[in-house]
Amino acid sequence: MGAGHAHAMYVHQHSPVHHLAPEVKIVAALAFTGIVVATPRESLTAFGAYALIIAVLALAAKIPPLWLAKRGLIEFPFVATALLLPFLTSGPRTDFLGMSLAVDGIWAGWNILVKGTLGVLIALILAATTPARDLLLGLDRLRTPQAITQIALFMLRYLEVLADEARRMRVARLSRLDDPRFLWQIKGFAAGLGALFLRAFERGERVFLAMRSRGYTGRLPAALHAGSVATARQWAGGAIVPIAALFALILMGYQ
Amino acid sequence: MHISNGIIDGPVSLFYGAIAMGLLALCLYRARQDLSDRLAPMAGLVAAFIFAAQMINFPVLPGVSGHLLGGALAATLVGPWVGALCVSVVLLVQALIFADGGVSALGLNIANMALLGTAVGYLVVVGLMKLLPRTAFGVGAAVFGGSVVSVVLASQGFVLQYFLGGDVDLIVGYGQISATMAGVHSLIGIGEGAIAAITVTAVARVRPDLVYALHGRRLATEATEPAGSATFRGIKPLIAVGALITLAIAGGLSYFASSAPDGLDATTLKGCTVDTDGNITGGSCVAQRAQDHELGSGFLADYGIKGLDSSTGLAGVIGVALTFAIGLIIFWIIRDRRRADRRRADRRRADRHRPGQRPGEPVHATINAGRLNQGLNQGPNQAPSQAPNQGPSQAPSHPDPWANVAVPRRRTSGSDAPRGA
Repeated sequence: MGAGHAHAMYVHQHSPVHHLAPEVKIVAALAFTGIVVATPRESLTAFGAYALIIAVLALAAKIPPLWLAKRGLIEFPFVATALLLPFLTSGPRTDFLGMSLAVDGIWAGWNILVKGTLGVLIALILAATTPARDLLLGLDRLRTPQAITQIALFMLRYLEVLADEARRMRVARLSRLDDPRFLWQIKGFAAGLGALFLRAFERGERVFLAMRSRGYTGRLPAALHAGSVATARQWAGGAIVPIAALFALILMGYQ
Repeated sequence: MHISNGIIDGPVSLFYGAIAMGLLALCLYRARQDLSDRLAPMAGLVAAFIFAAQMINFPVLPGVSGHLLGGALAATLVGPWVGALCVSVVLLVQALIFADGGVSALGLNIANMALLGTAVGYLVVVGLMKLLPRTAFGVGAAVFGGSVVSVVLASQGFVLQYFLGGDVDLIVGYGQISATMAGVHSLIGIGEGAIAAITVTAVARVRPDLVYALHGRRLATEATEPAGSATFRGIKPLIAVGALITLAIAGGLSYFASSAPDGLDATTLKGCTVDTDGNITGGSCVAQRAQDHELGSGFLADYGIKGLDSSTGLAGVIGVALTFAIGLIIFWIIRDRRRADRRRADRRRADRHRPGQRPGEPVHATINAGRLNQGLNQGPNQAPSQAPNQGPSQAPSHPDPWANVAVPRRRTSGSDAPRGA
């Protein structure tokens, strides 16, 4: 487990982006998102520049564009919201293809669409280039409370185990002639969920006792922190992304 | 349900982020008191449980995919502090690793789903448990109520955030947005509530000490009935009660929400002079633009039926009923299509096992025989000599090696019930 299991979102590659220390990537992604959100919605060129930055990043990280597009679909509910807004907004209206759309609403929809998409893309690049364990390690180095990072670490470690257990229970149920239909399957599903909780809780107790007997003191093992702490050079390299975005914002955002 | 970047503006997001951080610190402090140094592994496993519960696909109504939020469920099982902490960690990981929910909106999401939803859910559950008998059904009903209220209030948290930091003024007032959100989310809340209630009763039967909200006390024993049947009996009343609660919320709450300018509406009216009928007579304010819109004369517009005074509540009820009816119709259509698919698959399988026939023409023959036979089977005085295992999709007139094999998916309600054979 020390090698870090790659999560479903990780794209295994060797690239400068992959090799950057996780804390640098987290800070850069956060700063980039902040700059995107702070950009006035009318400055189209700035958004174009951000998209360019993301494209360069994805290229440097050797992430397939199709993968990005597919994972980006998670944003879909908000696309629907964005498309609805022009119809639901007050203010002056304009005619487009015979539909009466509110100008303000079009801008608001565009705002959600572009900022949401850019945010999802940068988060995807972060997730694709960083194993989950490293992400949490990065959060830990950024002084996130130990309790939070540890809970997240345990969660990720046992998530697959529990999901698998749930899948097995479902197969067992089906093979005993349960026939899930509409609302009545809630009973079987939820009773299984109860069993899953019991198993999870009891597993937690066992895991704690096992760790305690091996000298767990409530801190992450120091070995996790050895090596790979960000150097000044890495910080400088990671800073390129938000600084480029900041330049774009200053040059094109507030014309 | 997860808010993405760009919906709420920067300052409000930051403000909520700060609030979330402060409250999470409090949760952390109290959670340590609950679990001491077991905190990390235990809470980690509970968080994994919540994540897994959210991941499991649960198609109740196609199109309405209100996936489990788990706030009230977590609070009931492990207490409000650990519960809020776990849901927050789930949201953090979802934002960072699965790109679900904007990173800049993390504070907003945590405030709604992890803090507000969990706290309110827990308070309602504990309050209802004091009122209701300490039986499986009582506990289940308490958890159900807590879940519905928690989901609805989480949605109201979003409405408040949109009011504070939303980008544009909508044609509908905030009171109406809030009523709509409450209506939609009470439907989601029913699904969530039913699942949470059965989950908690299942745990409470086996390990009542693991249900935090029970405070270590056992359930009252139901000696007369075997375990398991109560849960089964419990679900139908539960759904009925849920439907009633929804209608009550939609009818009652939306009446209060929009018949008079509420707190939010009152704010948008600031700067205008308003006459006794609520019409804006002068000045300039946010609400002015919202008036006189073309949709304003629609049948259900303004959530009051035209020609009836104070009928907002009624319109809310009709809205919920309509939503439910549409959902049901979609479900029926999809179910029928799925059944047809299954029937086709069954038939194909049956054909493959019949020797000496080509796959082309006999399929039609099978369909016809099946239809005919189905019609016969559904007659009121069905001959008891027929094989009890046959569903309407099977054609017993030809030698079918699969005819008497119990395929789990083929069990259908209705004519195939064993009749004393």
